[in-house]
Order: sequence, then structure tokens, then C-alpha cells
Amino acid sequence: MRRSLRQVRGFLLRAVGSAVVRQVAFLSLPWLLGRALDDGIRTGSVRATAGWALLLALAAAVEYAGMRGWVWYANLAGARAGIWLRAELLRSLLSAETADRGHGDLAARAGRDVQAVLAWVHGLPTWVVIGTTAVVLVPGIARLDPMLLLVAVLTVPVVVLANRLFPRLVDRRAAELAEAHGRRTGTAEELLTSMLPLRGVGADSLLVDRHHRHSAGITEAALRLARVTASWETTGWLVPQTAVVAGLLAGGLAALDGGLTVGALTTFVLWMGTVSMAVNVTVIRLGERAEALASAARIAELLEPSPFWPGPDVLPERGLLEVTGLTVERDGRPLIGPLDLVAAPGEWVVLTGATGSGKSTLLRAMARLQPLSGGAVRFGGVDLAGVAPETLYETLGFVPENPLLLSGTIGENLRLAADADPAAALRTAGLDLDPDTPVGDHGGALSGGQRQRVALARALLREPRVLLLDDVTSALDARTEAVVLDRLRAATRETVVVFAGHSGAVRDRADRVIELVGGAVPVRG
Amino acid sequence: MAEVAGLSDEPDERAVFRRAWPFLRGHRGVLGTAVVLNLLNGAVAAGVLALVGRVADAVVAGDRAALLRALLALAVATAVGGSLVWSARYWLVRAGEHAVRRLRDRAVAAVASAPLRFVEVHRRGDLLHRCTGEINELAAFAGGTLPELVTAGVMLAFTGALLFAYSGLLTLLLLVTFLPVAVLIVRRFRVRSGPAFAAMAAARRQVAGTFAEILPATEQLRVSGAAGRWLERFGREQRGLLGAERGRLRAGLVLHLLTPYQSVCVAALLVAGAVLAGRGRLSVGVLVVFVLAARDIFHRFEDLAAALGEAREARTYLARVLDLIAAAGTPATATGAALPARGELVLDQVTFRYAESTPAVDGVSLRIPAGERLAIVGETGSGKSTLGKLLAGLYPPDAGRLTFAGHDLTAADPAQVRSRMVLVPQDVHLVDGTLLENVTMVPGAPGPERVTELLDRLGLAGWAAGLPDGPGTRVGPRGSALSAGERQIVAILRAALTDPAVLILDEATADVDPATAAVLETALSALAGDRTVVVIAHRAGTIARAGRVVELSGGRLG
Repeated sequence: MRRSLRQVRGFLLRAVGSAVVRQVAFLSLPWLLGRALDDGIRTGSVRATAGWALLLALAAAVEYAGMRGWVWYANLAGARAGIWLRAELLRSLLSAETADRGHGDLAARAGRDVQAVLAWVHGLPTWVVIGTTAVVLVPGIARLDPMLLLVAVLTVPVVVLANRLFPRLVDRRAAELAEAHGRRTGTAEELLTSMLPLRGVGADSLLVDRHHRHSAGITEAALRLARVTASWETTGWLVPQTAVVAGLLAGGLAALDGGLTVGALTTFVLWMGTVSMAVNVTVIRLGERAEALASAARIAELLEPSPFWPGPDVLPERGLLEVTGLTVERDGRPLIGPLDLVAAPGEWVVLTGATGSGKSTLLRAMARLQPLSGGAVRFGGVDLAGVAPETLYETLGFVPENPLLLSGTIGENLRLAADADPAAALRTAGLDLDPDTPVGDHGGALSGGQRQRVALARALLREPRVLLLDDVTSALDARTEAVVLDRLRAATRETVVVFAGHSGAVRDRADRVIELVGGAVPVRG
Repeated sequence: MAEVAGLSDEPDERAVFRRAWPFLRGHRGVLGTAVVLNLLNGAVAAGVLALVGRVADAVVAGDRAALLRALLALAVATAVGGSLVWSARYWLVRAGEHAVRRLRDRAVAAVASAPLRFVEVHRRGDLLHRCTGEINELAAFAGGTLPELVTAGVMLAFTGALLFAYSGLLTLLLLVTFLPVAVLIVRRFRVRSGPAFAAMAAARRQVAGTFAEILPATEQLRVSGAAGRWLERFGREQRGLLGAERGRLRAGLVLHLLTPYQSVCVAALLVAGAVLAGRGRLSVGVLVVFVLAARDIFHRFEDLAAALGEAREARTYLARVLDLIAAAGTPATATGAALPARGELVLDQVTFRYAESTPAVDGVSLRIPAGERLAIVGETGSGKSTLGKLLAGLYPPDAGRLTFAGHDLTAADPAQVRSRMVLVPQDVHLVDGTLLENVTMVPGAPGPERVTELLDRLGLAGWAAGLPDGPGTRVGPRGSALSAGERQIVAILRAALTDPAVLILDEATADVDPATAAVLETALSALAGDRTVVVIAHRAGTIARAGRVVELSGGRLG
């Protein structure tokens, strides 16, 4: 939160300055009105009334100018803070080594939580306005009648008490509501992503039922929150209103004794209205603050500072890939590995084994997409564990079995990775589609095999020294597979290739085959 | 080309509340209570104002007894007002939340039952945003701005009535000076804010879409070195958002002109009051009420106008959600006769296109007798998967007929079709929860003992026992804790728990290793009994187990 404030300090300062001007002009209005009532109307002088009325209009013009600046800069500050937060969030997500959360929940974070924080930033100048109000009104009301000041001051402890009680309640209820929203959003997202497999067995309605349960949970949480906010709102209205009644009693009796004018009494009621407004605004801002704190805490969890990488900035152009004692533990499952392997440029090593034997996991571990529980991966003698991701993935390419593409064309997807001319890479990958073909949402408009080949071309385009391929020809028919594998073999003469897969065509082209058995210890081939 | 209802980015907002009205059905009692409470709240607030005027008059007249009477009444009104503030707010939120809940349930149900092509052609982020972010905004509106809006409207009406009772002339003067200019200002605001708010919503959607799209793909972006460029693209879209925000602010500032103009009106009111008081036609107390009430009216008018901005935004969201519900379509009701438990599947000159291009499936005629084991083979992109979805009744053919036991599938009850035709696709995303929960996500909610029995019969008991918590293992978001092959096994287990007439396996074992796949496919075939099994595959072993093989090439049967 503090870091996001630093981004928008200039805007906030300008907003604060404008807000102070506006508030002083605004507070002068009831006083001018009271003077008009006393000097003009009670004495029956139209000229005197008109004079005070003119001053009133002038003060109003100043108020407007201040208001403009306040609104403009406060909103821009909020918007810029939001932009900064979203960018940081995305940057963190893209650089986080392991991200394993529900995506719907993350989307909710980017939406609701960033919104909550920027609403809070936008409301910050209001605190200065509240301060200005106190500084002007305390001597102002005291000059009318010390009794009236006493009445106004007596409301303060009540307000403070309410503000100590309600924020905690609202905080808790708002967090519950945010969680309820998160659960529903997660389910809605799952419904969209798992649509085909679920509908294929006629089970989509089960997930809809689950959604409806979460939706009912939102309603419950929203009503619990509404009960608390309504109570808070009532307190915010009742306290100053009671003060007005008490002030009218004290002031009215004083006026009967000739100590106070009707104009002064009117000024008091209007100012009390301002006090009431200041209380209400405080109430709202505190609520926003509570919500923003909860949201900021959730965002901060994701915003990890970029880690320090002790490894070199540049990896050797050529070298051996050395894997020593590589073991992986997956969700408490027994260890996979240890895997030992040394491969030279141009060599094809195939990892094979039954489903669940851990081929993909080992490959992902080599690509540093999975934490190791033991062992090391080196290239050209450099331990890859300490290398910054930008450097690492310059040298090392990884193509998953079910790659996702981003909406846009095939060409746009390739250009995200590198500027090089994609023709050769596309040819090697055996893809004869026009680069201007749109790929649809996450590549949904392409077949699984086409997606695999786009991802393969994307990896080839970066000319990696080490290429890790996870069964990338699994969705291809035998004829296409053979063509792609042969071209790939020719294109990777200078590259270490580790290929996880069980197809015969892949095994046939391997220099070495390592068979993983039963998810445990590999038998070296 | 397959007919797919499109979603509009800026759907028609006319009569949006009338279209939303049915969503209040069943909650109109709550709504009525909320209305009554808010009216009472407004009446008491006007009464408080009148009593302050009585206090002022008593002070000017020096009448101590009248002063005390007025103050006592004021105290009572304040106490009653307090309880009304609470209940008016609470009941209004309650009515709004119930309506929004019905909307979000309907929206999600509509998307869930929409034609498959509808879900496939729309950007998932956009659908998700409409189903979540935008409906959540509506909920926030119902919980916050709506009560403000209603309170302001009610207070305005009651205060206006009170003033008119005091002095018709002065009230008219106030109305004539204030209203025309105020309405002009608000109208100018509306004209400018319309496009400004739409641009803002579009820019926000764009940013949210880009953000959501990236989430499942972060790893691949990092590995393929594309993170930097994607961040640049996101930055460009965010700058667009800032521009849209500036436009929205400029439009909003027009509305703030109301504030200085109010003071001008009060000044005019004072001068007119001075003239009238000088002629003895107005008491000071009444003028005090006017001055106080005028401020009140202005503030309420301002609240109203400010809330109108948010109401406009909410109206856009509401229109977009209603557009989604309408476009996704209401679930078709059963028209055809009940489908028999088993039957022959016949394709007659069936054609299907994704866009106005060459057909993905082109005039395919095929007869699949009940109980047959058929394999469909063909090169990548030959239209095998499309044919599978057609066979499962998930795509309606653009031309030709598809019948099951003589019944046209496009005319049959979708629920019946789903229970007769079961499709297992290659890519399987699971739902966060345990393995058992995912496997039993089929109609009829089978118990865990059936799953245990099935695992035994399919030779998968060892696999399941090897997972960290057995069948109780959590699969993680989208099933990411399992491998692609293991996710396929879950989908096959699901299918085996149903009793379809036709089971379509679209590369359903492609990610499973050949040995396991062989065991699984043989067991599945035995388990299928008299059911028809259609296998779409490229693996030789899988094809060899089929009774008949047909080859698809360029969308045509070879």
C-alpha cells in the first residue's frame, strides 16, 4: 500500500491543496448565511441582504475551483495507483517460480482488490478535509456560544467509540463477503474451463448447483454486512441529530435570554450538518480503509520482491547438460528419481515410462518449473538453480504436452517470443498454416496437434541450447509425427534434446532411452 | 456456418429495468417492505425540518412553552428516525441482493446450458467477466449506491412538499431558479458521460481480459521469454484505461457545476425572502426552514445526480448481463419423444463449418449399429474431433441429419441426448476438489463404493492407492496436481459411471502410456457390454482393438 502511494504522491499533494481551499470556502457559507439573516432580514434591509448574498456567491465560486482540482487529482491518483498495482501483480505472477492457485481467485484479486485499494487512495485527501473542518469549526462554534461547542464536542467521544467498534465488524464481514465472491468466481471459472469434459458426460449441472450454493453464500454474507453497515449508518445519523436537538435546546434558551441570534442558531444547525457529514465521510473512508487493508494484504502476498540470482548473466554458448541425482517430491508423493544424465549438444535422450511414472515431472524439474527435493541441473558447468529466469530461458526451451496459446494470430504468438522470421521454425514444426490464422481463446480454435506445433515453433525460434519436449507429438498422426521428428532431429544438431514420450517413432530416433518404472527409481538404459 | 448468437459489447440499454423486472419475482414482498420503510423515513426527515422551523419561530416570538413543545417533538422524531434509517437501508439492500443473486444464478446457468459453440467462440475472459466481475459490480451497486439513490429521491419529494405547504411563492421561485439550470447541467453530464462510461467499461474489460487470459499461461510465457512483451502489451492497454478515466472525469466535472449554482440560488432566496419579510408576508422561522431545506434539497439532488452516474454504470452492467442471458439462450424444453436406451446412430450427409470457410466435416454419411466398436482415424486437422462432437450431439449439423434410433438429435431433449451420448475429450480440466469428487461428477451422484469397484475392474486400483491420499487426493486448480494422462483417466472413470448408449472417446487415452491404455481400453470395452463405442485415435494399439475402422480426410470419409 505504501509503495503504491509513492507512485502517486504528486497527484495526491495537488488534490490535498485543492481540497483545503474548497473546504475553507465551503465552511464560510453557513456563517455568511447567518450574517445575512441577522443583518439583512431581521432588520428588513434588502441592501444589506444583497451584500451578504453577493459574498456568498463569491465564496461558492472559490469552492467550485477547489472542488475541480480535488476531484481531478484524487481520481487520477487512484487510477494511477491501480495501474501500478495491476502491472506489479502481473509482473510478479509472470516471474513467480511456482504459482499454484485458482485462476478465478487471482482474477478476483486483480479486479476487486485493486479496486478497493484505489478507492482508498482516491479517498485519502478527504482526511485533510476532515482535519480542516475541525480546525475551522472549533473556534467558529465557540464564538457563537461556548455551550454549543460543548454540545458539538460531546458528540466526538461517541463518534470515536463507534469508529472503534464498527470498523472491526465491517472488516470481518467485508472479508467474509470477499471470500464468498472469490469462491463463486472460482466455480464460475471452473465451469467455463471444464465445460467440454463435464458436458460430455452430462454433468455440467452439478457444477451449476455448486455455483448456486456459493451464490447463496454471497447473499448471506452480503446481508450480514448490510446489518452492520446499516447500524453504523444509523449511528452516524443519530449522533449529530441528537446534538442538533441538544444544541437547539441550549441555544434556544440562550436566545430567549437574548444571548444568541436566530442567524447564529441557523449557522449552528448548518455547521452541525457539516459535522454530521464529516462524521459520515469518516465512517465511509474508514470502511474503505478496512476493505483496502484486507485487499492490500491479499495483493501483497503475491507481490514478492524479485529474488536475487547469484548465477552468471550469460550462460556458455556450448556445453554439456549434466543432471545429477535429480529427485522430485510431488504433493507428498514418494520421490521420483534420482535421475542422472549427461548429454552433449546434438544428442537426443528419451525419457519413457508408464503414465504417472513422473516423466513430465522430471522434465518440468529440469526446466525449473517444479521445485527439486535433491540433485542439480548444470549446463556448461553452471548450476541452473541460481540463474535468473531471463538468462535461463534464453538457453533452455521447454514445450509442454498441452500448451496454451494466447488470443491473436499464430504469428503474434510467435512474435511474443522472438523477432526472428518464423518461416523456418514453422516448417521444422511441420505446421503449414498461415501465420495470420487466429488461434482463438487459449488456442481453442486450433487442434491439440496444431497447438503443440505452434508451441514447438515458438521454442525453436529462440534457438535454445537445451530443448525439453514433453510428448509434443502425442496429438499427431503417425505420418505427420515422423515428418516433424525428422525435421526436428535435423534442426537440433547443436542442441541437447530431452524428450519425454512413449511413442515408438520417438524412441526410434533416440540416442538413448531412459525408462522410468513405477514412479520411483529409473533403470538406466 | 453454425449459428452462434453473438454478444454485444454495448448492448441495448432501453427498457433494461423492465426486462430485469422478472428477476424480482418471489421477492416483491421484500421490495414492498423496503419501499414503505423508505417512504416513512422520508416523511419523518421532513417532519424534523418543520420542527426546527417551529423552534426558530418560538425563539423569535420569545415563547418558552412553544419552544419546549417543539423541542420535545423533535426529540421523539429523532428517535423514530433512527430506527427508520436502519430498517430502510437494510431492507433495500436485501431486496437488491436477492434480485442480483437471481441474475447471477441465471447468467451462470445460461452459460452452462448454452450451445458448446457459443462458449467456444467467445473469449473466455469476457464471458467470465460478465458472469463475475460485472455481476459483482451490480451487487455492490445494490448494496451501496441503490439505497443512497432511493433515500435521496424520497427525501427530495417530501422536503419539496413541506416547503410548498409553507410558501408556494418562495417554493416556486426556488424551483424556477434552480431546476432548469440544474437539469441542464445534469443533462449535459449525461450526454457526455454516456460514451465516456462505455469507453471506460470497454477499457476495463480489455485490461481484465488480458490479465485473466495470462493466468493459466504464466509458466509458458516465462519459459518462452514472452513475459516482457506481454507486459508491454498490458501496459499499452492500461494507458488506454487511464485515457478513458480522464474522459470519464471530464464528464463528471460537469456535474460539479451544481455546487456553486446552489449557492447562487440560496443568495437569490435570501434577497427574495428579505423583500417578502419586509412586507410582512414571511416569518423569519419560515425563511430559516427554507434556507435549511434548500441546502438539504441541493445536497439530495447532488446525491441523486452523483448516484445517477453509478446507476448508469450499473445499467450498462445490467444490460450486458441480460444480453448474456438472452444470447446464451434459455434451455430448450423437451420436444421429441423419449430416446430409447440403445439404438443405431445414423449420419446422413452431415456437414459442419466453424466459420465461412471450408467445412470441417463435409457431407459425411455413416451408419453405426448399436453395440459396434468403431474407430475413426485420420490426419491431424482432418475433422475427427468435430465429427466426435457432432456424434455426441454437442454441435448441431449445418446440413444433413443425425438420428439416434430414428430420432433426430437436434429436435430431442438436450438432457436426454446428454444421457445417451457421452463424450470424453482429449484435454481434461478438473475442478478443484478431491479425485473422488471429480470422478463422481456425473448425474446420479454415485457413491464411493461404486468408484472403488470400478477402479478394480479397470485395473486402476493400484494407481489410485499410489496417490498421496488415495481417492481423497486433492487434484489442485484445474487438476494441475495430476498429469495429463491421469486427468484423462479421471474423465474415463467418469464416463464409465454413466450408462450411455454411445460412448465417444476422442483421443481419450492419448496421454496415457500404451501399457496402461491397453489394459484400460480392453476393460472399458468389456464393461461397455451392448453399448456402442466410437474411438477417435491415432495410436495403432487403440485402433487395432476396434471392430471397424473408418478414415476421415479433409472432412470427408475415405
